[in-house]
Amino acid sequence: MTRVLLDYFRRWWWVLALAALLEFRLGWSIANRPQEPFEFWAFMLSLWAGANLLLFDFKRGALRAVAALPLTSRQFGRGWWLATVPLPAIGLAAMLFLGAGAFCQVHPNRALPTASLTLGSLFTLVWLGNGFPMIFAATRRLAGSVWQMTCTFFLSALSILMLFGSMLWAQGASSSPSKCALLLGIGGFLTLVGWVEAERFDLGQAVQYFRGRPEPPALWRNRFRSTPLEAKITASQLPVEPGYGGVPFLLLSRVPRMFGLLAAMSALTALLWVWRGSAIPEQTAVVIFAGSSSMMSWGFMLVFQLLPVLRQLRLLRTMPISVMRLSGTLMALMLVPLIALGAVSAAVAAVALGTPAALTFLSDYTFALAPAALCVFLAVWLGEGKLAYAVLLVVFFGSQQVQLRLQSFLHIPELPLGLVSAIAAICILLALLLTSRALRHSGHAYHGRTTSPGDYPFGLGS
Amino acid sequence: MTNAIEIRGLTKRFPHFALGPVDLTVPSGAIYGLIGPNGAGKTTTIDLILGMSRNDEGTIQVLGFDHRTQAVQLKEHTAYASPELNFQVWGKIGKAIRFVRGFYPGWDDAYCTALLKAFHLSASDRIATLSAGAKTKLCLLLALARRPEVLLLDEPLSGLDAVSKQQLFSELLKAVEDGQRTVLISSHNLSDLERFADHIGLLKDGNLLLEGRTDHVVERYRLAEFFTRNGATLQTPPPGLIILKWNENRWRALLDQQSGAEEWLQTQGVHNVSLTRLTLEELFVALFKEEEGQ
Repeated sequence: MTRVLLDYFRRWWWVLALAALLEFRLGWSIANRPQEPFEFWAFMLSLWAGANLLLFDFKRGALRAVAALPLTSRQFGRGWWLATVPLPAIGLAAMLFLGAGAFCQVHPNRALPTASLTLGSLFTLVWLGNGFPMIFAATRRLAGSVWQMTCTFFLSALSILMLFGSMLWAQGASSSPSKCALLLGIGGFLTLVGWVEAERFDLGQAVQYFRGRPEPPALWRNRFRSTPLEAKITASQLPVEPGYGGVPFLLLSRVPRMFGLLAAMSALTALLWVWRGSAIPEQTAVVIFAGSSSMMSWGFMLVFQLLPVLRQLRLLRTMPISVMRLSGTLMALMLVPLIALGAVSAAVAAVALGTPAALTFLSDYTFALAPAALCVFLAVWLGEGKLAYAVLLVVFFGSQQVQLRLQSFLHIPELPLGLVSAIAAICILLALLLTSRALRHSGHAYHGRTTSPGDYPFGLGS
Repeated sequence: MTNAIEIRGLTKRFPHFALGPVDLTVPSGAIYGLIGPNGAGKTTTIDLILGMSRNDEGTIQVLGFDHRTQAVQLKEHTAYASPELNFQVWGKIGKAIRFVRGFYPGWDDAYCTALLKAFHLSASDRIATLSAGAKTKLCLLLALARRPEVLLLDEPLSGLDAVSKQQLFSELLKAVEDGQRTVLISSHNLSDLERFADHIGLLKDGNLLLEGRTDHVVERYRLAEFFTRNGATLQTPPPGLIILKWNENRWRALLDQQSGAEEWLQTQGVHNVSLTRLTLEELFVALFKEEEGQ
């Protein structure tokens, strides 16, 4: 079991180290501004420091590779539970306290916000604990007796609800007793369930799950059948639906779906904001909501739209289209849903809250186009691997910092639309040219994309 | 006979590997087998043809189209299949077909349907649940149904069972029977290539060691077994004679019949010389053993 743990940490130390650094920074921020909600960032960090990493391993065939090792399924289950739940929770809690402690050391007159830090650490533990059963319960599929199927369905649904519920609703949980109780209650239950799942982990079933359905036995049809060169089948018998194909098909089959998904998520989040009310002024709430929704939207698209499409970059490059058109297609996949969402959000905000709110949405969504475009280039150029993911994470988190620094540098609460449009236009143009160059010159852009973080078992990325 | 693919002085340098300079000629209407050990540069060569990296030097022409300045026209007439291609983003086979079909006005729907049946695939099959062999078949289907003039196949046999391999070569033979289509196939499966490829090129460490008609290449080499007297050794064998093994007086060597090595052996006083025909696989192993020995 120790080897299972060591193997996991050897492979993912860099992500965990990055998460630890960010947790340190979060601890610092909590001590600096104890009144501000911090739960969203704690949630995001726990999301990327837990069982999700294991999921990437599974998607890359790690289960089949370890299946032959002389360890029991239970030992694997326990090892992975320890590696993805309590150990990162302890590490992140230590970094959270360390960050806050460092701040208090630098500012001796400030008190250590022990309650917030403790709650933050507990939240992190239950979020990490929630990730484990979500993945492991899914590997069992809906099979067995009615009771087993009901349990599997209930646990999967509960853990998914916990995941999305936390994403949308957890902000400010440390100052709300009801939210706090709900989070710790459900999260604690799911953490325990995770341990039980680990104990009864079935490696064989999980291997089957991640491998997919095996080809059906072909004994009855294995006779050699040669195809005549001039097939005597009319086009009307073609089982493939007719209509346009190529780049328009690629765009129209993915962009509206992604737009719909993001619009639904934004609408749901907005409704939750309105429903629970807010202690902060309306304009501030609009600024926070517009900033976070635009950032989350392009982050979501990066993982679930761009990276899965880049897995077929090799195929796309062999199609008879110019490099510039291919670059444009990749940019459009990323930018068009964002532009559409920005426009719709601004229109809704204009009707509901007035022109200033609409401008805030327009400005934030326009600014988001810049890092989103640069990520297209970086994802193409760097291919798949640790470096690529690290750089994309830096751009994701760094873009917001750039926006804030620009605002403070210019002494304005919001960047004007003209300025962000110019920034976005320059970045898009630059990214387009650089992507074209990377497509022509970068050999490893076409290699090694065996899996992508967008391929979740619940099928969002496929 | 005109040439479908002409590669001249192709060079590509990586930090730990250098390809070329490679001169490679694929005649029109031929099935050309590009063979070589792992890391020899086969995939790199095919990638360079399709622009999936930029060559440092040299030129590539496919059907007279330059791979850099006329890349789109080149790809309109060329199809590529490799197990590395990924269609999973499309979810179902039908959608992948619809996507690729959109690029090719000459797409043959009837042939596509026939291939679906022949490969036991269905448009409604989920790509994620296909076996490795079935994914390879999907790749081949998408390449063949566009009726390309040049077909580039990179390790297409991996994951295929014996029946599917037979089926693939049957399709390839049909594709080239009118003399209008050309196939460049890279593979490790030498016994199949020997049967079906009419030309071969042998790559080793980024260099093309041999090129020519398969029967000519196989006929050119022989496994020579002979004896020397009283433990005498052979001093500095000529380039066409590659000593594979010897045990006291008994010798085994790879002999290039065009090099004059056979005559040289007679001058060395060897006796009981027997020459045996080699299969392509045996020739391949012998050539690379020699490389290792050096």
